[in-house]
Amino acid sequence: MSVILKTNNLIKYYDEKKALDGISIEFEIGKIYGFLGPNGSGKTTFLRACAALIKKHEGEVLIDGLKPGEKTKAIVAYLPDYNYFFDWMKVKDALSFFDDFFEDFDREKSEKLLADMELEHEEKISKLSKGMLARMKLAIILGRKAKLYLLDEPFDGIDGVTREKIIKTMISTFSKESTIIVATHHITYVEKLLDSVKFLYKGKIIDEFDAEDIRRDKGMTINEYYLEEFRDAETD
Amino acid sequence: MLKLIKFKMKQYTRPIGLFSIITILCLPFLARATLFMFPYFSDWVLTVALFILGAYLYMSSYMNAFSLRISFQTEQINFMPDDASNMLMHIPISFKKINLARLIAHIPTIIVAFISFVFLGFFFEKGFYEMEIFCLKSLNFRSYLLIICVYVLYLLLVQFIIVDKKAIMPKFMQKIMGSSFIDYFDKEVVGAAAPAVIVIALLIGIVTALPIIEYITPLQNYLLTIVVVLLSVAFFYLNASLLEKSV
Amino acid sequence: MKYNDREPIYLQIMNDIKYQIVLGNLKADERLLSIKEQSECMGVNPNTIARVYTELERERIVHKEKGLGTFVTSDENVITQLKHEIAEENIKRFVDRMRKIGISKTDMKALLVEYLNRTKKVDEQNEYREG
Repeated sequence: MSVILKTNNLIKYYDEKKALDGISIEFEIGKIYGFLGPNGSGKTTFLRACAALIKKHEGEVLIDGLKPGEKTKAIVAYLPDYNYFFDWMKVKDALSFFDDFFEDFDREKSEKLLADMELEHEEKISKLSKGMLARMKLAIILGRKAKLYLLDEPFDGIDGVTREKIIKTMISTFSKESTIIVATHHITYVEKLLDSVKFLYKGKIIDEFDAEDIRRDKGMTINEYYLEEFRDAETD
Repeated sequence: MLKLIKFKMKQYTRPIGLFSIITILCLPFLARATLFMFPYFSDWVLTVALFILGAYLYMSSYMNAFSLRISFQTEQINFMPDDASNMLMHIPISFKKINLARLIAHIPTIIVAFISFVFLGFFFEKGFYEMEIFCLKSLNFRSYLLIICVYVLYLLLVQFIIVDKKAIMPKFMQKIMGSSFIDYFDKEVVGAAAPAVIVIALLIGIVTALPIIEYITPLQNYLLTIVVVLLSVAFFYLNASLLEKSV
Repeated sequence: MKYNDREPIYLQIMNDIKYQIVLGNLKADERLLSIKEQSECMGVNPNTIARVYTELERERIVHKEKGLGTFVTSDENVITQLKHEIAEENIKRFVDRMRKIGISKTDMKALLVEYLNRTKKVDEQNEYREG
């Protein structure tokens, strides 16, 4: 099994605070990972470092053997947890943008996803509701055939029915040549989706395991195990 | 790369882009009309017109080219290639190319401003060189005052209307105002304040260089202009390489 | 399909498929949905489904044909064996539950026979009406 993403003692400071405290982990190709932890644990910072949006850090990040930069942006699809579209853009502008600047973008696929989620081309992105924006971002990002998908809180603002649709879309996007990393604190939504889980707490990895192993060995859901681990972590 | 330039050029087709181009092209005519109503205030009218032109150039430079964002919370200088935490940072193109595309897309703005400038000179019966002298001479008093007023107004506006009562100002002003303001920042508006600081610094520089203008030949004047332009381009590329290193 | 997140999902899906085979909903030699189709349909990780199919193949319940898909076994003996396994599980569950409420093995047998006799008459009446 080859490794698509590897970090070596990744440290990132914001002022005096250590957002990432020496993270050394690996992610393999062909798996769906849950990158789980409470708010403020450093999930977003980690993903941003992998997406080549943070360059000033200690330690190493390697994506398919490359340092984050121009080349990795072509194989990494990053979904931020905020609205990163230009405020003049309509949905069709976002489609064109991705079509123009990403070679691995499948416009037809995104169009179909947008239609599924009942989003119109002429709608102004800045006027979309929270739920519609979340759906739109996903419809666009899942149109890319990337090697690594970094999804930061993809389910925020999404209702149950749409969530099912999105999970199915993630599954259909997924292939043996790609990897999906889902960073979220909504663990119950992704129980059946994840192969493998990594727990992040205060910038440190506190646990890594396969989803089915927890079920087999502890008879717990991932969420239950998460609550237990983090309760312990809090009291440490 | 071409697609990027095409993308940045789209700004001229959007309402604000079109509106500002039309306004600036009409500016000389508006100024001339104002002069007709107030014939004794020729210098003031021209100053205001030039000021508007300058503001236009400044704002579009900010939107197109400079977007300096100083995040005090993180104590990093992020030379972002664009405002809004922005899509261009996600695409697989180097920051140098992005900035070059932005520079090229900025050219129509400069051409429009230049045309306006020439027409202003025409209507106020000043040749190109005379206009330059006027600009620099006015700066030592009238425009300088106007710029300070607008900047203070802008900060007040920002303070009370735009960003939810958050105060945004450069460090030297923070020291004057007190540290309680330092807790609240908004990156977007800090980013807007920083170019203003740079512009003011430039203006002060020009003002202090003023005596020279009287004594140099037109040729030397043009050379000086070229030097300034080159410095701006150099700044632009400094922008790009600092961005690639320091973010 | 409702799956319990406290037990390995692949095991639950495996048992489900075995059950469907015994019920006759999945016939001998029938082609199962592809891994992709099955995972999308269920909203479950494709690797989990892959594991299911691999384990089922190990147990000779299905077999993979390269390029064609995964098929239920054509061997009737295997299916009969499955039926017996499920029957045994059901019996085990019955016995455990009865034991829990304090019913002895002798009583269990007697109650079972009595129940079967009682319901036999109802079944026969139903068959008569349908026939």
